[in-house]
Amino acid sequence: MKNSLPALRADRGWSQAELAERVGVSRQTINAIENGRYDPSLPLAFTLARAFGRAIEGIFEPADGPGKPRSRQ
Amino acid sequence: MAIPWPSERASRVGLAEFLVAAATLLLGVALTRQHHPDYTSPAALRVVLGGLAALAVCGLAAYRIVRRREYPWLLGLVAIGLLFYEPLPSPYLIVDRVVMSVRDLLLTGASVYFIARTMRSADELERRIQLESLSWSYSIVLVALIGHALLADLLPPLRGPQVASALIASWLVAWLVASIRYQR
Repeated sequence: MKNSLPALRADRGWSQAELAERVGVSRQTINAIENGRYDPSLPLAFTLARAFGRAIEGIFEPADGPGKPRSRQ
Repeated sequence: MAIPWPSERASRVGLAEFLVAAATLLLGVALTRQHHPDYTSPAALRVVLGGLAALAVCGLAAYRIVRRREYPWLLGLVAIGLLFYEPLPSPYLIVDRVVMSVRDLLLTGASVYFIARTMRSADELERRIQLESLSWSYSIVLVALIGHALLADLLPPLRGPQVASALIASWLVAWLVASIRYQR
């Protein structure tokens, strides 16, 4: 999953540690999410979205870009 | 932005202190065990005192690790310490058995409390890393135990503390590897 956390964080002048403190996780977790090493759970994604005043899809998008939901065969 | 290596929960300074604690623990135990029975002679007493001094340094290094809350390094030290754990030599006295049982119960209770507290304070990625590490540790030790069972006639018998030590040590290594992998 791709995300725009680094850009959003830079806009607000927040460090990784500051964002981590705001959303109640470790700095390691923020770093792993920003680097695409770890996809956050839905609750954490909502918390991150709330911290930036955005919707989840305004921060995260699938690695292959926004698409239509898959239909069952 | 770089994260302290290998993790926020275990810094390089903590690693250095862990290495000092591990080395002094090994040295201290070796020296005191070597001369403990005849420590009445002056030469042997000096060696025993040297061993006790090494153990004191080990305790100081462990204290500094605890102060910084870098518990993974402390677990590494526990893994080494468990190798020296031996039951009382026979003949057993019932009082000794009760005292040792109470001590082991307290140690086990403290370990359970520590693990529960660590898991409660961990966030979701840290829990995931812990679970990955535990599954690796369990798998590695299980395979090693199967290997030992196959070669039981050639190898010395296993003791419980050795298995516990292997579980903790492999957990620590797997935890370090996973922590670094999620940061790259």
